[in-house]
Amino acid sequence: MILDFNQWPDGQVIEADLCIAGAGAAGLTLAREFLGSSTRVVVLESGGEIYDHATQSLYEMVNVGLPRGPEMVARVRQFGGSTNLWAGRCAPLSKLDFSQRDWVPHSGWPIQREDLDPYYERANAVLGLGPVLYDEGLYQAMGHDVPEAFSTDKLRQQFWQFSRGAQNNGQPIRFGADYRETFDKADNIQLFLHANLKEIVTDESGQRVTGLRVASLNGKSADVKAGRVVLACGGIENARLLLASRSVNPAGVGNDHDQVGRYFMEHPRGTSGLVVAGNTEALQELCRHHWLETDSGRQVYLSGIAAADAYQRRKQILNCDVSVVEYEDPESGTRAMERLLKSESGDYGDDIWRVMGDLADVAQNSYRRLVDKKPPIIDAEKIQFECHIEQAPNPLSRITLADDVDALGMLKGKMDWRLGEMEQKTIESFMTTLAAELARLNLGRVKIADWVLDRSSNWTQGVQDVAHHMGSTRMSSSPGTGVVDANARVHGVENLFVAGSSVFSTAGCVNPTYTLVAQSIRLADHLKKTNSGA
Amino acid sequence: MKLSRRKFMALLPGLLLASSVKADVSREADLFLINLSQWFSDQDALQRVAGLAVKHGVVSSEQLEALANKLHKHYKAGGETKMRAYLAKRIERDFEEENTRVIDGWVFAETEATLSVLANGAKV
Repeated sequence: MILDFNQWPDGQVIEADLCIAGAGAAGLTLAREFLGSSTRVVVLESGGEIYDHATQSLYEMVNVGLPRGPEMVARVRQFGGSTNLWAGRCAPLSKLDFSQRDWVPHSGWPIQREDLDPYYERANAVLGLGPVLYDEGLYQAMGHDVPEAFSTDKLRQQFWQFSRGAQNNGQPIRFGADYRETFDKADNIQLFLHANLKEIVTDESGQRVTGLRVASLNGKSADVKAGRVVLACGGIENARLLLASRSVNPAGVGNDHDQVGRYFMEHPRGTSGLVVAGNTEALQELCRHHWLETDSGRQVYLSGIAAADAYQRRKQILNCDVSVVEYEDPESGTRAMERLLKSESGDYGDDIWRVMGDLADVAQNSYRRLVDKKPPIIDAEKIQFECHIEQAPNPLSRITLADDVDALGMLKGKMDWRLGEMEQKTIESFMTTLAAELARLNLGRVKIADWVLDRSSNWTQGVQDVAHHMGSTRMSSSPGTGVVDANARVHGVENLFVAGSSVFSTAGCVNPTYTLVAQSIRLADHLKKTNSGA
Repeated sequence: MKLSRRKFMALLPGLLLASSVKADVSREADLFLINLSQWFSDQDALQRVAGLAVKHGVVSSEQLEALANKLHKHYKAGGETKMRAYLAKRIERDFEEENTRVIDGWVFAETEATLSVLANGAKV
């Protein structure tokens, strides 16, 4: 049942077996696992069903680190969370991403990729994904030959696929809109909109959560009493909430070892190279969208290029990948033909002229589309590489609390995002090798961007954050090196858990949503298994 | 005609230019770039790469000497075809073994960088 907290009787306690704070991808995935069960679940969502600026403003924070994109557009404080604006790109972390790497300080998760594999499978249904194909097996599934690729001890093809929403209109799943009806009909789940978690209250020892203080921007407040609590408020807010809950311990909840908020990671992204000359069409063939026809419709995949595991080991670098960004020839006959067929042409005469003038390309792409079942390859005026770099875990890259408060009287977050030499070394090494491999295979020559080769601290001016917030409540086997244990329980607090990318011990270089959804399902299984202890 | 090493060296720039296939020059790039795997058909590009290689000190006189000797040997044994086949293989191997030089953001096989200086008649 979906409720508006503003309609709830002021001060009336809300009781539940399980309280989930946050109704984004992590929180709603977790709640979904309890649909129809005997567990009474309460979900607290700060936003409403539509965007509103006052609620979004609760995300405002102070930045004292590297410049970042505006927080107001990077994430969404609304039912469905940031899935209201995501692009739906999904890929699992690699085995190496989970392992302890001697050359990456603070690396290693207390779980391995194998522990998550069954949950990745289950995450597919939640996210509207097709078969779990993130390697060359995709070509086999499509009935295509595997293209000639790189030295496998240096580079590998990276595959993603795109989430498909319930409307099947080319949009990824929007957790709010697509699961609204499901939750509204759920008897055992109360989902409160406009309900902001302000503070986590513990007993005197700090080892058990006894309540949650909730407030709305309209002045309503109430406490939640729940056997177990899961924070699923996002990669920044999870840490902020733990730090700001200081009525028992001034250091916050679960922060006896000063770990909360540390190791904040992003996926630094930048234009890392320009491709010229060579057989760029073959390069586009390697790095392009793919269509896999399934029983439930067409599933769209994407391929790019990433650092092979052996290469990361040999060069002692982090993970990273590139996608190709094509700047299409505006005179492309294929695109003109598409506009004509979809009746979207702004100038029929001009588009017909373009088709006539580019008949060979139109014929070739029509064949690809109709016979080969492949997306067209459009003539590109310019091809660039866009990279995503794994950020090394760094305890000094962190979230703390600022001195001023938000509209609810809660201390704002203070962000000190830092990047180091290892990320620069990674992208320099990777791009140099990529350029050499492309030249060797005559796929193109690469002009590496200046920032990639800049070994001073100025290199960071070439990258930006991508609103992938990770690591601030990282998973660790001991309380001295992280915030939650292998089951996502906050170290030292018996009934408090965290869901979402804030628990990532390392970041890999792929989009985090697929992994955080898989982890949420894993957490749900754990909570069900240990229900008697609630 | 007996082709001495000295004569070969004098002929080399012209030989490489005359025997080359079309090079791609990107108008979009802030630096033009020849597709070096096809070698030098553009005199300006050749001079630019050679100049960069010298400026950045990526080519030593020993490397120039060694490559010139190899090319001379292959040219004598099988003419231009053999020399170009040797170069192609050597450049490919350089890339495979990451025996490369980064010059102004472009990644060159060491052989390419050396060749550019050699072919341009530049001194190091």
